[in-house]
Amino acid sequence: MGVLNGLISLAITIAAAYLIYYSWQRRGQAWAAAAGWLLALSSVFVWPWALGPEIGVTYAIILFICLVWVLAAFNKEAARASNQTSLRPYQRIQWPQPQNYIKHSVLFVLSVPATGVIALVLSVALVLHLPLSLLYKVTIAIFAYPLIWGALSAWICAQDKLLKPTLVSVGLLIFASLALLI
Amino acid sequence: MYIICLSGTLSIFYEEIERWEHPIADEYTEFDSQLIEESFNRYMASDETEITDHMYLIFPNESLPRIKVSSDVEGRFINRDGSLGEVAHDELSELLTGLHINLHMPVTIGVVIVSALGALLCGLIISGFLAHPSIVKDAFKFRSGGVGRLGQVDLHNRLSVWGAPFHLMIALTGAYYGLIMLIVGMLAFSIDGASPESINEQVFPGEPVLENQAPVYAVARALEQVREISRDGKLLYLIVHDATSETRFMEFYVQQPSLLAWSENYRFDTAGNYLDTAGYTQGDAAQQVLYSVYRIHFGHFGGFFTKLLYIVLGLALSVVSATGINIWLEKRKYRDALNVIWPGVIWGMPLALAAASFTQAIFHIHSIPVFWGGMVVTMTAGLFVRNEFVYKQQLQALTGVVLLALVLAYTIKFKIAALSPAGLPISLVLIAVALYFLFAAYSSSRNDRRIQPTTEEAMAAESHSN
Repeated sequence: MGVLNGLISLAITIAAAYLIYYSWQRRGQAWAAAAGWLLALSSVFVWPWALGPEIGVTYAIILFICLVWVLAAFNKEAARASNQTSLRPYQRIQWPQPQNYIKHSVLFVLSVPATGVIALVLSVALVLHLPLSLLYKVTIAIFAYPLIWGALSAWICAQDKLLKPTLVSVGLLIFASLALLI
Repeated sequence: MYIICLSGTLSIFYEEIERWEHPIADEYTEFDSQLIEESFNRYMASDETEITDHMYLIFPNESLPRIKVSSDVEGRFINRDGSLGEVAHDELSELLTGLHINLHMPVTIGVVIVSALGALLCGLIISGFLAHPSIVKDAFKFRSGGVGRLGQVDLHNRLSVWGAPFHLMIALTGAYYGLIMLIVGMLAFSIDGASPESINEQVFPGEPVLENQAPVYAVARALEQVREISRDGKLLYLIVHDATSETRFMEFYVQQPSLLAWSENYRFDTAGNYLDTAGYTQGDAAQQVLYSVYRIHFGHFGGFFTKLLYIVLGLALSVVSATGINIWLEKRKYRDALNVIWPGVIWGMPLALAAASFTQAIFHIHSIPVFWGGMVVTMTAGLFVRNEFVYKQQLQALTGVVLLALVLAYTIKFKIAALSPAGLPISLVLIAVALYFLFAAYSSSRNDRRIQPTTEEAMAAESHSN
């Protein structure tokens, strides 16, 4: 029975990946895309039937990813001759100007350690006032922390000037600290 | 990021690597509990054994079918007849796991840095989606090959966009290890009357408090009860906690079928009297999630097939890390030292690992300095070549040669044991990888002949840069 359930789950995952690929190949086949995504979603509920809820959900995700990559590999286009260009000129490494060192040092401090501290305070401040047990607060905070840190860091790196991210970071830190202390 | 991803991918098979590293140990999965108890007590009582806070008895499994007794610093195998076997070597698997978990830095700092990189990976995944203007249109587009940027861009985007759910799962579970204590500390700071210890007690089960425990361990009696309590469980190992004091107790780690939690733990005093069950598989959903982090991160569930899937997914994340920088390098109008240092990282790491494996497995030379020394050499040697494509081929070819030499030397050293189930599978994989590297070097040397600049072009570029 377990093997049969596993095969059915695998068939659903294969069908999901193929339908999505089919809809992409033949543009405008929205039904195939919708059916594919629906099957992909349903596989998250079907795999646990074969492997138990925890391992089943993980398998539904990782097998789908691997199958989609296989289909993308099928779609591989050969290298074009235009890709075969000459090497660009090799030159001595250009060391940045002193002001660029300062700018990038500030950017690093702001986007990595500073956002790390802000995200820590913010994630704890967010969960602290939730009507949940301490165990749930810890669990939510531990997964929210890297997400907030990463998102904030990526946003800061995407900014042209440092003034805006600096002000936003300071604002977030003040807001989170107040939320913690109140 | 690349170093952490690649070492993490290889670490999935740390048990198989440990087994390969020492192919001459007695292998068996069935054992007599009484015999094992006598061996364990003999090891614990031996003058040669350095008793540390935690002492271990590791039970056999399908990946590592041998029994090992160990302290925090060294270990020995137990032969089938119960006698103490040879000193166990697992430095090679530790090279990989140490690289992945803490980049060989002091653990408290290294784990936080690696976890911070996990958090930044979350940021890269989110920003990658936001920066992708035609995510649906290009969903399966894959222009591969050549040396241009397009091939790199497509490879990077296809692997990262579709792999994002897995990559996010790995980033979040990876970040967990170093950040959990920061979260607990900050919560303790924010809650009146709380301390990190009081919060830990609510998240992780507390340990039993005992006294006057003799340093003689009734393993067989406890084991009999464990098998009774958890009939379907897979026995992992026994840890003696506080082994240096009279508060010592035994804890059996038993994996439960269909659950991702690392284990359920059963505690006994040293006379083999049952104390309690830790409750790792019986708590709230939040607790289950926290205890499942390790197995989700390392793919240690569902057997060998899951490990293979994790290898594919982990290699994909390593490729995404590498191609991200490749794309940036290709975007620049010029080439400089960074163009040749970067292949020294990407292709130098397999070479440094191969060299460290050779010196460790064959001569027992400490592998960490060899690895990092190798990395320094591969990152700088390219500066003399000044052509990243040629340098990449050289590194690939050299890696292939070192891997073949490793298998040859291993076979000479361990003789017939090298052909045993402990030695042969990894050796075959190493040969396959070596052939891949040699083929890749040969293949790209043929293709890339067309893109070498002429001497005049190179001289013109040189004079331009001066």
